[in-house]
Amino acid sequence: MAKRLTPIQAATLEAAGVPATPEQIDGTPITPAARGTSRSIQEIAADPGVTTEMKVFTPFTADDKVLNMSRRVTAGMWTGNTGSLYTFFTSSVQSASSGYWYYDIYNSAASTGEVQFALAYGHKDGGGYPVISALNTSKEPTKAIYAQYRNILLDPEDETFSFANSWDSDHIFVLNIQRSRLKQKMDAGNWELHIVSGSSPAVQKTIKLIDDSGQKFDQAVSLGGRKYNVVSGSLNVGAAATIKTTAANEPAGGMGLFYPDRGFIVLNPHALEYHLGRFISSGSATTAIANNHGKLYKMIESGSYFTARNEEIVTSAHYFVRVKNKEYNLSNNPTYYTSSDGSLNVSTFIGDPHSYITTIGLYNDSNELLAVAKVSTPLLKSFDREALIKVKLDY
Amino acid sequence: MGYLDNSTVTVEAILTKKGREVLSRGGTLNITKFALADDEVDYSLWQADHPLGTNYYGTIIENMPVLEATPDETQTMRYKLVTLPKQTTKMPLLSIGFSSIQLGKVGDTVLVQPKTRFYEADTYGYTAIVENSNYVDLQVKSTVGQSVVPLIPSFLRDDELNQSLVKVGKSFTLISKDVTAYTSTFVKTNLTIIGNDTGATMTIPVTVYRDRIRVRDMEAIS
Repeated sequence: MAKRLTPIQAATLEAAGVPATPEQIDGTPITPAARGTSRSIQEIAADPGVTTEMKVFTPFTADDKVLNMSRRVTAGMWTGNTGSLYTFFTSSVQSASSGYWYYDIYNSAASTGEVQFALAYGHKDGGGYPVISALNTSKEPTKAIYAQYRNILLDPEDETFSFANSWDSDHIFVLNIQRSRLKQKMDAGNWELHIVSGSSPAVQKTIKLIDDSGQKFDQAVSLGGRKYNVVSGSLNVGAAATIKTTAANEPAGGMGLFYPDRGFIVLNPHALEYHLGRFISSGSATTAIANNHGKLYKMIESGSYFTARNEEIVTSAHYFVRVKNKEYNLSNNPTYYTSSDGSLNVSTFIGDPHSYITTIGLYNDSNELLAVAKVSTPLLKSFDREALIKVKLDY
Repeated sequence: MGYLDNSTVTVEAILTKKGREVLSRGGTLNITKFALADDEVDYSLWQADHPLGTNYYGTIIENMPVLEATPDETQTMRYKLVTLPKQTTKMPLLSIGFSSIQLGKVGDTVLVQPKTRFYEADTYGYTAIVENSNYVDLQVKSTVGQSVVPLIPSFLRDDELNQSLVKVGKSFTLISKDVTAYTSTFVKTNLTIIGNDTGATMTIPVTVYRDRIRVRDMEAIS
């Protein structure tokens, strides 16, 4: 079928070395005879060296896409991706409602701060809080806490938490990292918590806790995922972590257990008291409320240091956006042309059009915009410029 | 010896609401193509009379900080870059011969025949979108002759998409629906036409009168 040429297409033909006759330009059908050695628009469009098509989309080829690249990403655990927490706060509102079970620990005053982790005390027999026989209205919060973590972390036939040296413990402290801080898991081998007892420097006792994953001591996988021992030591950022005393050598059993996949640090009260002095009341027969987790909170507050990182596996896709020199040099931007007649507003763009790339849209076959990327500064595009933009999409 | 300039631009993309929706339904993104846009560029800032010469024509634009990507697909990719011949002097403009449409009561029709001015650019036809299909029906009068996915503009909001009507063709018939349930004497919606070859877009208002028999006083383009 014969093809009529618009003036624009005629100009394109000329640019491709195919002069168009006036008859072709004014609409006379092109016959093979009249065409002579020239080529049709379709033939020229098929020539990879000539671009006559109009388009607003470019399909990706298989070589342009690198999909499903997984990588491990770590970040500071606390609000704002900060790695170290130096101040600790509780909320009177939360404490009044659920404080017998746990305290939410904030990074600043609770009115402005965000929950970083929760601190709980659990006792197998309900110690530290009056049991029902002593207080009929008791909800036995410490018993509930112990049972809760036992169900999550221990094997079904195991009723008691056991720390290193087979030290069974009827009671536990649990630090539970807040979900949004945790992302997918805690980064094992990269947390350190300081706990300080005593009100004055003269009588203060300090322990610095890390996990032993870096040393790969007794790594085991439990119902709660990977499990490491909590030990006394220091991270020594920039150098290897040092373990002061291994879990096996702790006189009162290991300091605790660390479950990075759950974001739990379970501490052994016996070991804490060995290093920090006695502070736990585990009786349950009276109406006295021990508030053991409140006492540990005060010691963490005195320690003023909890550094930790979270970890997640991010799946990425890379798309190579290749913009050839003859592509995307004009714009539908309303400042680019006059709306009444379509003429280009910038006279120097006639014969040498320029455009700027600021946004890259990624589409599916249904023309749905699924992802969008921005360049940091407008990227100039013209007939003598090509662009290669790597778009990285995490999901 | 200097260093080679390996300035491949690397940018990070974010999922749009639509992208998240696809993932939340358990689907895969299946990204197959890209488009480019310059939403925040004002080409009047191009200074062809810059005293320092050619290299500085675009200096204002090129030093402008670019805004972060927004996840709302209705607010981005409005002005797409387009591939056109180097000698282009006029951008493709759409025309249907009038600047507004007025329809009488139920059953009144009008033929919409879009044209791309200055270009033979209807290989893939046009996408016609009626924003509110409660007022008018849209039928394809002349088909494209091949399977073409409509170019749904990303700037339609979800609530508009829910009641919009989208068709692909070379010409369309707009038919008024029964709007007697509405209290006003007329209702209004918009008809958007998009050139599937060029991305050129035009939107005109459509008025449907509740009681008038036929309305043919469409406004000529000034």
